[in-house]
Amino acid sequence: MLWLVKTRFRVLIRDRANLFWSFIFPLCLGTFFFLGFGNLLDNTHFEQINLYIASDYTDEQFVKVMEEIKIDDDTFLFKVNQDFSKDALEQYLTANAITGYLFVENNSIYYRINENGMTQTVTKSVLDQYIQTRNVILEVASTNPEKIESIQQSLSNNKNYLETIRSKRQTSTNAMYIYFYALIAMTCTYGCFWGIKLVNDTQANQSNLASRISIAPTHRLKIIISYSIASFLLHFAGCLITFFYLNFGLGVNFGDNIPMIVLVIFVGSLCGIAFGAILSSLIKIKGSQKEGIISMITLALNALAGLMFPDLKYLISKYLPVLGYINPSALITDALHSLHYYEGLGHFYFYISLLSVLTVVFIACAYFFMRGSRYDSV
Amino acid sequence: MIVFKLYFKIVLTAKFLITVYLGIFMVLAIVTSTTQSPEKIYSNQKIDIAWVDYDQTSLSESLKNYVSNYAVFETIKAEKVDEALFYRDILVYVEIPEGFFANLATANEDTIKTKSVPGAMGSYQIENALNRYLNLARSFKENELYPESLETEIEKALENSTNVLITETKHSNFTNITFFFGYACYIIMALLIPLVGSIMSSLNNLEIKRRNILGSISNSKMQGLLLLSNLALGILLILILLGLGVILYSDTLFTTQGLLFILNAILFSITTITLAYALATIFKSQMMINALGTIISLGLAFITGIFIPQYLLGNSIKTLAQIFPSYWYIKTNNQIQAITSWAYSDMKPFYENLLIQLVFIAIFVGITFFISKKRMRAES
Repeated sequence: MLWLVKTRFRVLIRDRANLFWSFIFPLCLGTFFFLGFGNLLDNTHFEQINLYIASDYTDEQFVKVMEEIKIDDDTFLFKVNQDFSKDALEQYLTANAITGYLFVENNSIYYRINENGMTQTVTKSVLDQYIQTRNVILEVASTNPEKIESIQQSLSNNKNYLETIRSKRQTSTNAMYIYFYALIAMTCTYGCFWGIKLVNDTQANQSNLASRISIAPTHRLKIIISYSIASFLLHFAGCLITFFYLNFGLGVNFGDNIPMIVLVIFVGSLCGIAFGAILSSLIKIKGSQKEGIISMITLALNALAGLMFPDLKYLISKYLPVLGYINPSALITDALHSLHYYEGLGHFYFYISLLSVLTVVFIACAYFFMRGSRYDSV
Repeated sequence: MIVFKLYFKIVLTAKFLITVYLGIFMVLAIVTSTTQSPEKIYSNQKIDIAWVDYDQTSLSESLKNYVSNYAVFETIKAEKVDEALFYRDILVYVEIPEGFFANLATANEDTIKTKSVPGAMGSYQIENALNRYLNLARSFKENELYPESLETEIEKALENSTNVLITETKHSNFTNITFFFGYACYIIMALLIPLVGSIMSSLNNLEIKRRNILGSISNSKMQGLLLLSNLALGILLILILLGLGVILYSDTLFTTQGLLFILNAILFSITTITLAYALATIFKSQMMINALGTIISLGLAFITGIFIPQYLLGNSIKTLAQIFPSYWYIKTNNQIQAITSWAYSDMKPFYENLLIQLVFIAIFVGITFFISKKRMRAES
């Protein structure tokens, strides 16, 4: 048996096409992901707003207040700029070089903009707050002058009434990570190419080599198991290399639970190979067309798991969760995501169990399709 | 005709590949085709949030009413809130505890529980609005400044707002169609490189080449017909994509900008075809061409701004991306979206980008010509 595994291993490492998809392609894609998203993985950075105030229509006290507004202890909300006149700012606005500017005329604040947007909404909201506070004080001064001091004190004592109940781990991740989880899932499901080779080399009606192997005296189960072990070892190694490259080479944080991540990759690799074996047995076309069809099915499954557009995965989990439960790529992605995102292992166990069940079903079906067959003619 | 027939017969063997790519593209285009109305007056940019109110008082209702100026309330199951935040389906989750307003401005003041996406401006906006309302409520309550009800007094105070002057030159919203044509760039590369590459590579096979030379169609005519077939394939692909575009974006597609988007896409298809030609000339193995097609299309999608907007790319990546045609295609796409004037000075960057794409075509054709000449000499 060991000899069979060894021989098969030597055959497999000469298959340049499959080696490319299992080893080289995921590394290339991972590098592209990192080059593209590397600076988006940390989402805790707040972009300051450029606030342009016309130098010829301004109010010193108002500018001072705007300059002092903070988002947190270290960051100011606005980068206030008073270098340009109203006419110059109007020109910049027309040329779309700035999103808006402010000017103060007859004690009223005017906010001039091109279009609606989040920056404009936040700016206007802060300006509203300034005007509202000022008006409350003026109102109290005219109606209840005896309370003017105390209301001023109350209003200046700005309290934070919000308490965040989201864990640090959750706030430090974002949907960009899905690309990397989906990449691992893709590498695992690319095991289908080894599955195709397994069927092509053992089913007598698929190739001349398989016909010769089928009439050999070695027990069929022994051949299937030894060939599968060799495929699995090679593919699992490829998946692990991808994971370690992403985690330690590029520094993508998958969480600390490495043994569980390896477990997901282990089950995912098995699942990928078994999935390929089933499809290869079911699709009766020979040659590269069969590989093309299976590769497209895998690509579609990976796309649905968020490889190209993470929101697609979310939409499926929101509106059609069953589709996510029967898609091995989505289950691998979800298992890795839950390990990194959630504190407990409840979610992880759910996804790894589903993936394991799916893998067992795939292996059983693959064996059913690949077991001894008799042919009148091949 | 016989060459065309042969060409499209080979193309049809890849119908599954074409269907899957177009299917994925269609799903994405439909998902992102939410229409946005053009802006004429100022309106707040609203974000999606989840709201749970255990207090159920007139004040908590008034607070919700105020926050609705900045938010759209989404109904999310409690166990799905974390997932919704992760995928930014919502940016903030707000939970008002029972008895919150009764305890406001007393020694037993409570807090509102929130979960939010850090760093997002929308999250800051909601948190700021909540604190503003609550600080006003506390100030009025502490000073007993509410002759009628507290909520009426707060609402009155919050009515004052800044004067917003919005410029009058408004244009249609091209955001969705820009995404559509941006993503089309990936589909064009992912389909045309392997298809054109494989067909050209199979015809470049020495045995087949020799048989074709013996045939009644002269070699130069054959090459010309193949070139036309490749162009026809590129145009056909653009037409299929436009078919979908007509359904989803008829309002913006039939505009001058829409025509420029199409022109840019046609030019990019030609660039991709010439690239595939060059690859088929350099590499003999079809497996290698397919592998390169996948790596090039996906790789460029990530580093040249197809999947991630160019403004989010790091500076070094942006510099690297400039050596690829898809970077200039996407840049042109973004420029078309932002066109406000048709003056030559404003349109100059657009023309320059088109010119750069033409330079890429010339480079790829040059490479193909040089290598095929060299190979022909070796073969003869």
